[in-house]
Amino acid sequence: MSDLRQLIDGAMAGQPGYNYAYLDESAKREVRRAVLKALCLPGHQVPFASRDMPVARGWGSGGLQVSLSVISPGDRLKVIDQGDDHSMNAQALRDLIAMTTNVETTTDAREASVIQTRHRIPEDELHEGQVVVFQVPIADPLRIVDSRPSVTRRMHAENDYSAVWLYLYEDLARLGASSFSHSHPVEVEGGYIMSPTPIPRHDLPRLDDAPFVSLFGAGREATIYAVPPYTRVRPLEFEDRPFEPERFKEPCFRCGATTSYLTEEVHDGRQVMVCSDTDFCRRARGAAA
Amino acid sequence: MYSTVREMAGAIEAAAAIAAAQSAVEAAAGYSGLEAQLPLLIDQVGAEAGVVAPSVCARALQQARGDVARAVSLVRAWAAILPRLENVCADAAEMQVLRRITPAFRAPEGGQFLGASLDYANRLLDLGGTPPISSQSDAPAVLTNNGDQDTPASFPRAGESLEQEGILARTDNPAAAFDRTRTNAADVAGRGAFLQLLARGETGALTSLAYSAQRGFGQRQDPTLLELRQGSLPVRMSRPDGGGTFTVAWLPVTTAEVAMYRIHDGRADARLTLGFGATTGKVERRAIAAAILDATCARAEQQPPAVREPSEDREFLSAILDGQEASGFVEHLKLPHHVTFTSDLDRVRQVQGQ
Repeated sequence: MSDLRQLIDGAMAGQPGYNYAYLDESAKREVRRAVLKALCLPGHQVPFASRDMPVARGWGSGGLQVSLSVISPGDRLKVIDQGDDHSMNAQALRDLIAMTTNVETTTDAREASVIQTRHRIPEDELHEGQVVVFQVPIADPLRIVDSRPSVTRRMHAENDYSAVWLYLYEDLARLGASSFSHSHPVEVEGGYIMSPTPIPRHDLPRLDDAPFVSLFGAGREATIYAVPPYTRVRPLEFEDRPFEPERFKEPCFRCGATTSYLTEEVHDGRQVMVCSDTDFCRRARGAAA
Repeated sequence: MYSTVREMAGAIEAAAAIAAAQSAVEAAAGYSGLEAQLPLLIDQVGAEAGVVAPSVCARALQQARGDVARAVSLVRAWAAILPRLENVCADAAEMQVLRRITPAFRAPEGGQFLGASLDYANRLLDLGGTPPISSQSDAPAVLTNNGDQDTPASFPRAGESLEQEGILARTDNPAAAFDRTRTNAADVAGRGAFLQLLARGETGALTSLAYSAQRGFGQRQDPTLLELRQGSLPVRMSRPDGGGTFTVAWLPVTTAEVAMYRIHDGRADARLTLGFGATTGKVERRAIAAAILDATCARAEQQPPAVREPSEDREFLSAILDGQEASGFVEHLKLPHHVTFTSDLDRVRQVQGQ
């Protein structure tokens, strides 16, 4: 009991009482086992006992558990929200991970070994050895066709994806276009259908045959899934109605990039489009100057 | 002892006085500040967090500036990384009962003991003088209002005789003890896991969903509270040297059993359905609501209706009753969403042919 007392006292007194990377070792082991299983079954949703975290559910608690379980001394950490390193929540998550692990942080995606992200893949070319941890709000791509996990688990197990194909077909027949905006479902290595998390369609091609590891953590929904490097990831599409990324009519107002994902911003009373990846945009401006 | 709810020899005043005096007893036991002033709020935080630690819950409430959801979050995250030394089962039959009422039975075996309750005291806001709590110094020695009788050491379950008679159907096999905070999320489908979810459920969500069943959403059903108990459960652990067990703590607990009578397909039930609910602490509506939802779900499982209403749908309830999951996800909308919203706009403009 004295060990317990010490831990409680330490924890109550402040950070020195906490374990390396905040989580206790058995929790990390459990997350790592789920990650390994997920990597062995690309796109398959692996349930785990999601811990209560010092951030609210729905605010990155799943990504945080994955990051804290895979990170080790010597890693360099980048955390973004909507592509922005300095978004409040990204800052809070980065501070928490850095404070409990002492790893270095960076905003340059090319230098980071672990990148925790909400809703974007950095614009930079990523390379082997990098781990991208996605924060997942809704893990199951079949939620749109049935809200019951018991039903969709069976569909996944039986490789029965007719409902989601029909959903896509009905969109095309009725609307003339798919209604998937972000979160367009993908087929992983010809097997499981997976939600790429709400990354925009612009980012989907980046997942295909990617050199980096993609880990997806859903804390509230207690699910982890993964895409190992060099894995085929294809958006759902019909041969005659191909998948379409978002289209932008103008380049980035700040850096002039024509290939990056843009979001709206008001500048001097005028609505302009700017890169959502703020660090990429900053460096592009520096190079142009 | 009281039988039906009738004023007998000042029972109502006595019950309210005991409830107020309990604060004084708690103060004498070392409780201070919020723990003494707002014991039921502390109970609610502890119950929703699934952690019985009043001083920690009080500290969390203060740190959260009174936001219950945030206080629960703080307590849960604090507890999540503490080592689990042992899992033990407490036997509900061992409860040291401070309060026991049986609305279904006028004079049950063992009797009824009103205990501490504000239920029948009028709700007139006291605008005079100092706040009515934690100001009393002379606490009664024994917290019962049973006249000359001491509360018995144990009571038979009020519904037991109905079970023996075959009128009350037990829900299913006794639920296995379960810890969903340490179990793979895919394995939380059993009734034990559901009962734990109900015990930790968000108080308002439990209440409104149970109310929806009473209000007629679902098959026509009429729950009756068989028994409500409030008291302390001993938590016993085995000695590491094998020399028997010892009691490490007394857990404040409220339990409720309801029986549900239903008419379905135009016919009356041959048997009543039993529902069980429990919560730590003394927020009694939590236990009653949990018992109703256990009964409605158990019944829907035995005889699936054509359409399951929310209160009958264990899978639905499992997804939405946890206050941390719900409040966290509702409030996450405050995070920036311009990347995904841009994608939405792109689709709408495309469909509009722009």
